[in-house]
Amino acid sequence: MIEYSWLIPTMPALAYAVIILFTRRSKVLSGLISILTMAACLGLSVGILIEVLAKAPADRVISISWSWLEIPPWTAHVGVLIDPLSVNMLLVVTLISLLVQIYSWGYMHGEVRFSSYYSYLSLFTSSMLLLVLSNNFLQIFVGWELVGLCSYLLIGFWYFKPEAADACKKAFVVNRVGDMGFLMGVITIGMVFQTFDFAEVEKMVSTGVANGTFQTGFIAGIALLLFCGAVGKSAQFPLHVWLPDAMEGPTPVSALIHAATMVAAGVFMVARTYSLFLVDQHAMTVVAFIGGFTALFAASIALAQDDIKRILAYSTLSQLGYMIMALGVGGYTSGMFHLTTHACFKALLFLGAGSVIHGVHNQDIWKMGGLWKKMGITAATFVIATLAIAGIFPLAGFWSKDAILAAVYESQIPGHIVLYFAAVFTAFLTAFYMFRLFFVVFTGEPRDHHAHDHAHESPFTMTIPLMILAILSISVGWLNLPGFDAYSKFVYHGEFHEEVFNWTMAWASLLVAIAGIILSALFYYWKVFSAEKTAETFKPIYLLLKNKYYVDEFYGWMVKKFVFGLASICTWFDDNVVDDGMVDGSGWITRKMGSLFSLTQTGYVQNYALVIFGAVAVIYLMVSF
Amino acid sequence: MANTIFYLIAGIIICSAFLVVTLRNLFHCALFLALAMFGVSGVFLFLNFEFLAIVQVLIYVGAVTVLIIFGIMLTRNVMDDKTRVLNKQVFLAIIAAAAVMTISFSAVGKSVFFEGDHPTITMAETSAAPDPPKPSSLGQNDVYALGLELIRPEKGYAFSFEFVSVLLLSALVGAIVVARKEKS
Amino acid sequence: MNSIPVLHFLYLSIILFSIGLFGVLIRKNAISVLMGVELMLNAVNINYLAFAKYWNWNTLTGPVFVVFVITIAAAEAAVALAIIISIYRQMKSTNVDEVHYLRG
Repeated sequence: MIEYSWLIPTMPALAYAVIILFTRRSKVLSGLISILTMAACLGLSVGILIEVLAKAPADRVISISWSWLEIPPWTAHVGVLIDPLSVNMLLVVTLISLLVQIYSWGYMHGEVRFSSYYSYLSLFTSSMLLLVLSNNFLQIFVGWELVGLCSYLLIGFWYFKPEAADACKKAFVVNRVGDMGFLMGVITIGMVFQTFDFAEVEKMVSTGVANGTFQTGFIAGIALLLFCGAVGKSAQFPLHVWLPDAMEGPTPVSALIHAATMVAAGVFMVARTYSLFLVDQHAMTVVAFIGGFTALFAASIALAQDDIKRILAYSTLSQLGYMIMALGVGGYTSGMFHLTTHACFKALLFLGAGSVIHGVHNQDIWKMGGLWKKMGITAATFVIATLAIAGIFPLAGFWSKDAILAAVYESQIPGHIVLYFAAVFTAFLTAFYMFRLFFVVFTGEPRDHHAHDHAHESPFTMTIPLMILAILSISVGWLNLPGFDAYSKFVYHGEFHEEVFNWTMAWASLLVAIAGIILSALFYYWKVFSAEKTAETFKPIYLLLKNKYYVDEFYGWMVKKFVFGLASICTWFDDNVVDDGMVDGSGWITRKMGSLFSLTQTGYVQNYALVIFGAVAVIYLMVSF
Repeated sequence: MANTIFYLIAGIIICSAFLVVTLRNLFHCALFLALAMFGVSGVFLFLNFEFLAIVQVLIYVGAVTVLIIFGIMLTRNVMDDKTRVLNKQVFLAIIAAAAVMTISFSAVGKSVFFEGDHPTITMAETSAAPDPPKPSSLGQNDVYALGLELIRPEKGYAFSFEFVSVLLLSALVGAIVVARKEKS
Repeated sequence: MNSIPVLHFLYLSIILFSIGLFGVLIRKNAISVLMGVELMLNAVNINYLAFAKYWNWNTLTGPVFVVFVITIAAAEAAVALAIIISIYRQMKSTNVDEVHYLRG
């Protein structure tokens, strides 16, 4: 199977080409091509997993390269790297893609550009798999930019909506800021190591640091440049602003790209280049604190949002922060494990939200309510996902989140206790806002009767993926049951060492999560406390959260002040120096020179003859003396 | 005697040439041009190129000068006494022409051809030509050789000869086209 | 003493050429300019033949060139006069310095 791994990114790319070129007119055919390709990819991935599992742990890294182009001393390769990390990502990406594509069949029903939608999804999956399977920095960058492009296309899928058009531009521009750092990192790696291959770079770093060729600070600098890319793609603070706006895209897209897979690319990339980060503790500390801060920051914003998808978006930010923090404190396995579980339950949450939106044609949670009775399957799967993300035993989130908390608690980086409490508090907030969402949407009395009457359960193409994901959300965590540890024996960095599950910590965080749920229930289910009055009491804080800490406004102000200021200086320079001075000036000089030299063009033929013979005389004199 | 005749001819050529370029009356100019051409054909005779001397008379005196006189007559108002004959760059032209003449003299004087004894030309009838290896190839009997040289295909000027005939044809056509009165 | 130094032929040629050049440079009338050109061509012919007489005994290059020069001079005179007549029809003048449409 492994020798066919190159087919995994190739097949969806072909599907994209076929749909765009030939089958656009037939919605059914386009959708079927896309879904069947995805199923084939999933099958291949499972085959590769089985084959890799059959090998001894030391033999599980297989790298296949083809030379793409050579510019000495560099060679750009295109290749496949099969190791537990990429196999893990392969499964996540292909599985979620398949489910989302099946779900989209129902959700996008009646969409005019149905075929284009499926072609974009195929292109996205292809790019993401190219990124995941990449064995060198150049290829990962290509995949990285391609998924960015697909994200842009899909956020702006309904480009006729101004919000969607703005959001896709915003996503693209904000990602560009991070990608700049990533690109600089890749270029630096090319300059310093003369190779882009992950394994070779890793080897050179370890030997170079050991014998003192490279200073650790230098490697940390490269690592942090790469991390800039991860900050952009995984929407970490301060480049998180694009992800909530990206919710303007179709909801299945939000589930696939902006929750489960693409935004996890940043986490994956950090994991892929983990040896660069491990060299210097300062780099790790930066990564951990950015992750931890984002987790808490985004969770607090989610408390005061009204749009069902935005709440989930901030929740995604927060969970991505968890993963980044886990990697930053050295919890490689726990970070990737959380990525995997999160992909399942966050995709489920988004698809559930999509189902709700499909039913009530609205995104404001205050216009929903009492949907439990109308949309049984959606509500049941949604509550499973909510419990999973809150970290309730024995669902998936419990195992992965507690692994992260334990990793943070036991880590060596300075200030890890602060991070630990921030993470625990984030867990509390997560439980609170997720159940706030659940209670407001699914329980109580309908607030908007028109919408409520209209609401209906979604078709089975949508509910089947929901149910599959619900089963996964419950059971994926069991891969890492204490004592079983299938996952941590599979995905780890460097040497494998046994991690003992810390039950004390687990029960503590479980208690915190339950406290969050109960508080949420007190506010929104039993209505013992009034949310409005509390908001009134803490109005400044509420407004701060509601307005997302005014980060967007700050960026807007900054752009207005600094960028526009700079732009006006540049404009002045362009108008006066470049335009008037250089462009007009060169024209002026040319014209003046022309009129000067045109004086020699008297039009009198005898003048010319005179000059010719005068020149003959002069040349003779010059030559003979 | 022969030398005197050569220098006499040379003087006639130079004087009439000078008159050609300075006289006001164009018609007189043309007549002096014919005289200068005659002189030149005389010089050709001195050089033993009788055929070319005759061709010179036929073409220059007989054809070109007549053509020029036709041209003068077709553009009648050139006899107007009030117009200036010379343009504004007379002074500069004197300098340029004098410079060309001076440097030509000095160049001829310095040329490697003239190192050692200066060769001389001896008149035909008292011919004791310096040392002609093939006297028959030049002089009175050179017409045959010249004709052969012009049309001999293997190592001659056959191509140039044909090319010149094309040139003459196109000049003929071109002159007619240019000078034709357009109907408008 | 009936031999003439070959240099004297060349001097004659140079003087004739310079006079022709002088005529080309100073005369306003196009036909006069044409006559100047003819004088220059004749000077060249004298040169060719003088050299042909004293050097390169075994070739006829000089006379052949003189033939070509005469031929081309005839063609040139014909075309030039045609042009002059054409200009005269347009401008009622044959003055070269009135024809300066190409002034920059």
